[in-house]
Amino acid sequence: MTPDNASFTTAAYTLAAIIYLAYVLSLKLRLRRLRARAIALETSARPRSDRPEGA
Amino acid sequence: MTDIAVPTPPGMLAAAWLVARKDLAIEFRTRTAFLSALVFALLGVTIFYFAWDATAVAAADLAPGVLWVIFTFAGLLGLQRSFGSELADRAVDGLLGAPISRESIYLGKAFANLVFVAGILFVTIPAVVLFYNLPMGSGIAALAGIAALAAVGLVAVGTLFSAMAVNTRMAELLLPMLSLPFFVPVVMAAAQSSARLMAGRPVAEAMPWLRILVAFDIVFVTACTLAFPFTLDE
Amino acid sequence: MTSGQPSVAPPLPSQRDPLVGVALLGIAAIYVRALAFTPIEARQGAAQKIMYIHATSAFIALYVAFVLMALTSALYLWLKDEKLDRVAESSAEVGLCFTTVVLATGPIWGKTIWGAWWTWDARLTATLFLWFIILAYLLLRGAVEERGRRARYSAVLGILASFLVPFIHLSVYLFRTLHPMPILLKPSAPSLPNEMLVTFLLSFAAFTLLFIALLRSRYRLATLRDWVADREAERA
Repeated sequence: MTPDNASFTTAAYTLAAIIYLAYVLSLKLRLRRLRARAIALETSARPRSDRPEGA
Repeated sequence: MTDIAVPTPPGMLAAAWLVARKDLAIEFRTRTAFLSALVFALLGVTIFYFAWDATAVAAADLAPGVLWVIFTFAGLLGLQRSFGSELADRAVDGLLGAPISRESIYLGKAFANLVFVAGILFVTIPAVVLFYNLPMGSGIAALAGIAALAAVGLVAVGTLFSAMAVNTRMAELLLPMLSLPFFVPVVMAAAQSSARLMAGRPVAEAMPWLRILVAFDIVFVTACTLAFPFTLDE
Repeated sequence: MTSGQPSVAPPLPSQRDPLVGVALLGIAAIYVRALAFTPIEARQGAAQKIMYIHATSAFIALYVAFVLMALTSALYLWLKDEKLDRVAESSAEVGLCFTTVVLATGPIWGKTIWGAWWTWDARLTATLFLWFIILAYLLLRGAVEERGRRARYSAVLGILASFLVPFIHLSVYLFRTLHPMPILLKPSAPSLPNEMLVTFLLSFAAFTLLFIALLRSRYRLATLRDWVADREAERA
């Protein structure tokens, strides 16, 4: 008699999906924040690029 | 100009002994850390007794587990202080400036920690025998031997992680977090082999566990000695 | 990337990198195939399908993520190349994610097959310890601020951890053989029907792709973070 445990299967598959997606989201968010900081740094540095080094 | 006698730096083991002696001398002068760890161990042994239903589980069956749990945490307490003393006034620079190999520093500190832990065990094991009504006999000698092997493993790993943890912001939390996973095979092997020996089982039953314990000691004393120089900022 | 030049472009990952998306689609495809197009195993029922996710994630967590972390740690101590440290860090974090999935799905499967949410069998215990070790690795990295020291400390832990895993495995195995445990059914029988085998292999490919995609993403995050930290330190 094949046991009826489809609900467990659904639970496990859902849980796995949530964990992986949560991680992907965390990466996206962290990347976005860093990107913003990097761009801010780059734009505030650019005006100096016209000056000769050491000035 | 080569007639000037230049004293040769001590060899690795001799240097390690010097480092160990220095640490032990400092520790012995105040004894606070040792006594605190000792009190902690004894109190722990007592509290564990009351944490179980003495009618459901015989005290003698409980004893090995209690012993090794207390051993682990008292050992951690001892390890916490291992590198703390060098933080003050950057005394570690003095140690690094000495003409001794980095490995001897590690071995010296590990040995000092070993003496510390052995001291605690020296009191804790008789306390467990007493409070948990363990049958005395040749089992105690075997127990002491297992304790010695377990202490070596614990101290080898703990000394290395103590060197790393002391440089971080959360040293007291980090040391247990890093060390406890490594303590598991030690505690498991020590508890399993000592439980069997104390229950009067033949030594052959405890042998696989003892082999694990010895293998762990050899692997990790070597690995940690080699890894230690990487934990220094030079 | 030499420092000292005022307007070096930051290593921004291109907005249009599709690899993670493709990998996720691959996983979705596996979900469909496993749930709708693979037969149910007679003895274990539908719950056996959990293995398509659990076993593959476990394999990748231990044999890909952890091994990569240990290898790059050793190589870092030898070659001192920061890139190796970033790969180690990324592999650890992605590995932690995969291990979490293993630990989350394992007990669900175990409940149906063994009747118990948890047993201390060698594999599950070793996985639990892997989780603790990787977590300790990441917490250590979080606690050390100076980059060179952080890399060295993590590398030492990574290498020692790789020595520890066989000991855990051996200890727990010995523990189990001497303590009779509830009978457990082997999750993957030696001769699988073709459709199940194909699903396993496809699943393995999909999760490997996911690992690579996440690793690459995390690596770029680390590179960008270090770049930003360098620039901000220059300003200070």
